[in-house]
Amino acid sequence: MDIPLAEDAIDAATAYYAAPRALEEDAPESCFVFRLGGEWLALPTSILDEVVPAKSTHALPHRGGALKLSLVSVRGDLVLHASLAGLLGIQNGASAGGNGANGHATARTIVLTGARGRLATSVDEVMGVHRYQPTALRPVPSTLERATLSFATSIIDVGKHVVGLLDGARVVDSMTGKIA
Amino acid sequence: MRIDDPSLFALFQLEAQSQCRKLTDELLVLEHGSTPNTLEELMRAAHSLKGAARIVGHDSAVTVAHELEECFVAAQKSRLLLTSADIDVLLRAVDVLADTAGADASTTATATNDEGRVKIVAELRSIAGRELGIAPAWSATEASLARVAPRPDIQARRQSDDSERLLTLASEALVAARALAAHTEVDERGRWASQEVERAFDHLRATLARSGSNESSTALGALHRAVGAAFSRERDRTFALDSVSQRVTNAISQLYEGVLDTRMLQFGDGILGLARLVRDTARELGREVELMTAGETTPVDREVLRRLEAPLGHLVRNAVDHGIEPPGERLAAGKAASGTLRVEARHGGGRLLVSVEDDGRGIDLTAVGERVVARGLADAAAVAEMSESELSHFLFLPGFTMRDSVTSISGRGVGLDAVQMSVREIGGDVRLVRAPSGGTRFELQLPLTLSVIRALVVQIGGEAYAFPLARVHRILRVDASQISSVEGRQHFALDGRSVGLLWATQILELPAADDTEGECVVVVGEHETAWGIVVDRFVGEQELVLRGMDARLGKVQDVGGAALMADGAPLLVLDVDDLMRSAAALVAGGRLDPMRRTPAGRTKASKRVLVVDDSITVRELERKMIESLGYTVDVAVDGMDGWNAVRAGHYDLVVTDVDMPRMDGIELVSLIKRDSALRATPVMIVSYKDRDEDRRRGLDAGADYYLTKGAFYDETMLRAIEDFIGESA
Repeated sequence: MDIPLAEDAIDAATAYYAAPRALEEDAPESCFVFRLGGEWLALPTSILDEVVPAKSTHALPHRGGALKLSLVSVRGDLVLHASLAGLLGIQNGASAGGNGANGHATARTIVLTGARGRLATSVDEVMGVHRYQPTALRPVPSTLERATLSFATSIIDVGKHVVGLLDGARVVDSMTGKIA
Repeated sequence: MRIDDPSLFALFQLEAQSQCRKLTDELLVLEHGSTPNTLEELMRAAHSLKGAARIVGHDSAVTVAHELEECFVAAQKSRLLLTSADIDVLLRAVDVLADTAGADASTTATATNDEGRVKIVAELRSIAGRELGIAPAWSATEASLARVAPRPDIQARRQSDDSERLLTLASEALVAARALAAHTEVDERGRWASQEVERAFDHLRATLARSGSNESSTALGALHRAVGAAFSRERDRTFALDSVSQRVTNAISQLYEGVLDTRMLQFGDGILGLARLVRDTARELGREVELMTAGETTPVDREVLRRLEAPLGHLVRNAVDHGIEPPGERLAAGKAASGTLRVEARHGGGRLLVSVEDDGRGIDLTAVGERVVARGLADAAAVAEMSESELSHFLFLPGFTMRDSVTSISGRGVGLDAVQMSVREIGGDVRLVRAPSGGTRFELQLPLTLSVIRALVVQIGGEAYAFPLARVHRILRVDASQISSVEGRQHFALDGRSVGLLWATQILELPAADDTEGECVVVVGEHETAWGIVVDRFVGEQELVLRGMDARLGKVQDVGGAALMADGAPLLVLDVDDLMRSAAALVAGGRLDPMRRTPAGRTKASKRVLVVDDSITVRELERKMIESLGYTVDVAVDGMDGWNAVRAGHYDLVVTDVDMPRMDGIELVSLIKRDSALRATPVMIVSYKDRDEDRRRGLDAGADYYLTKGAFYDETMLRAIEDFIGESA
């Protein structure tokens, strides 16, 4: 997070935080909003362990596949890394060091906690934590494409983006299930 | 063959089934008074199951099997009979194990299942702990041994977790400190910048002097002083920062070394039980033996010490039994009635050297030679040509014993082959030499630590990999003109020998890198088993601190561990044994394609034979011999590979070895004979193991013929083959 932010990114974040939000304090739920390729997605905050600037990964031989298993060093700890984009069937930029629309490095490595240990994955851009009322959730339209469909539980509006809220436990379980 | 292959897990379940059945049977035998082999059979079954579970990454099965094994080991060590109540617990543990192994490793076990497992593990530990506690070997007179109290393993495990965590943090701190140092180094650039400014001022001052404005000169002087002061402040600050950074880097380096050191114990800590072992063994056998130890303070890695315990105990028992003569015999030979056994440890050449030496009768190499001939392992002429060290190699063969009568101490069951295997598992080696006194001396050389290795760092597919230096035979650059191609496979000449060349990216299934520096070749293995592995480029030699990999991954084929490089980026350490197997399998796989390797016109008619052996020498020899009869021969490098080949192709005969990694020949035979489609295929076992029980095991599993390797290079094998499947055409 020590990378200088671009002006427009600051503007966007300012607008986001400055926007009036009714009942913000009472919003009991929270999710973590990020971008993968062209899609904005969110995971429950509860499964998020930490977010660090994108790290370069080291591929594991014989374990290519859709998840592109690799190792990543997060503060001295070697954490297993799997591709969320691969799991969801999303085409995204480089998994590490990807640039945002404004050309600045926005990619992050995020570490998730699962029942069977930590798991890292990469996203192209992080918006932040969004708090919401359960009533703000809308059902997933049946027109939603690809594998994302089976992992998204609902749709939520965050600022000007329509965000697909993913089932955290299912995401982590499917990733860990495909490891061995 | 992938580790994550579902068929492997199915195999594991099969093996678990059969091992659990065996465990139950043997436990029942044990309850009605054990035969000498019962405990050993139990240990072996539990151990194999543990090994198999580890291969498929089934951790909970590993845990239960391990605790079972510990119980049997404890029972054997202390030579105590297990009570009926204990047998109850053990039988229940086998049930739990069977349940656990039956469940898919990836599905989360139910809570009750977990609970049952935790409970049974605790009960097993209390048995293992109690046997140790009341065994005569740990009686009150040996107060010093009291600290090997029940459940030392739990504490050790917790300590090693802590030390793992500390090591992680310390190494991260070191990486950060090095990064800081890179920013604070007082570099030349700063000095140049200030000189640049000075020159600009001089120039400006000269220009102003010519134009003669006093006011400008004064202003310039003030500016000059201000800039000078700023530069000087900046310089002071950089100096201060640099010195702090150096102190931090220093302190953290020491912290890091310190954490590494906490993983070391003293050799003496690992041999506490030896004195008692020697005394008990000597008394039972009517020997007088004095144990002398040296080098107790030699630092040894915790893990190395732990893995050294079993082979060391075995060598010591062996020395008392086979080496040192009874007092009467010693006196008659003009020696002191009491024999001396020396166990010594020291560091040498970056390795831990441990020797076990007795002043007994020594090993009669002539008798060994006779035994070799008698067992048909080689003929008399060949034996006459063999050097002492070549002859002594035979003593490390499975089941090769010089003792005719089986005593309760040694001479039965696991022998020197087990010692050699456990020493090799941790990257060491053992050899036997004649002691100056005429006795026997075993020399073990082991790595000082399993957590720090010297390694050759290379790039493969654009990413960093390391070969443990101990396993690198040579590194060299090979010119394209030196590479020749035979049957579609590439070779180059090394010391007059043709060495097969394979691309690392090919073996590891990685995308090839775009830019490579010519053919950088790492040669691993020696002689017949040497391979040239082509990498992108050599990076250099580096000391690496090995880290465990995520347990969820199970064993990653060809990878032994992970480490961090100086810049904190991850790197994978290659498992060279695995790599060589994969290389052999890759080449054998190519060979399995009959269109490529069999001369046209003969393929159609000839009968097909599959040769399964992990030794490339034996494999190739058998292949040539069988091909000489006109059969088509395919090869597989171990049981697992063989099983895949058998199912993929149609064979008229399978010829297999017994001792092989991953899946042994017995298992292969059982699988073939249990499969309705393959059952009719005759299977011939060719093995060095020629004890009756080995033969019986092979035939029981369903083998149609059991041949010992002594006879395989004569006509016997060829005649047997023709008897089975008729002539080639």
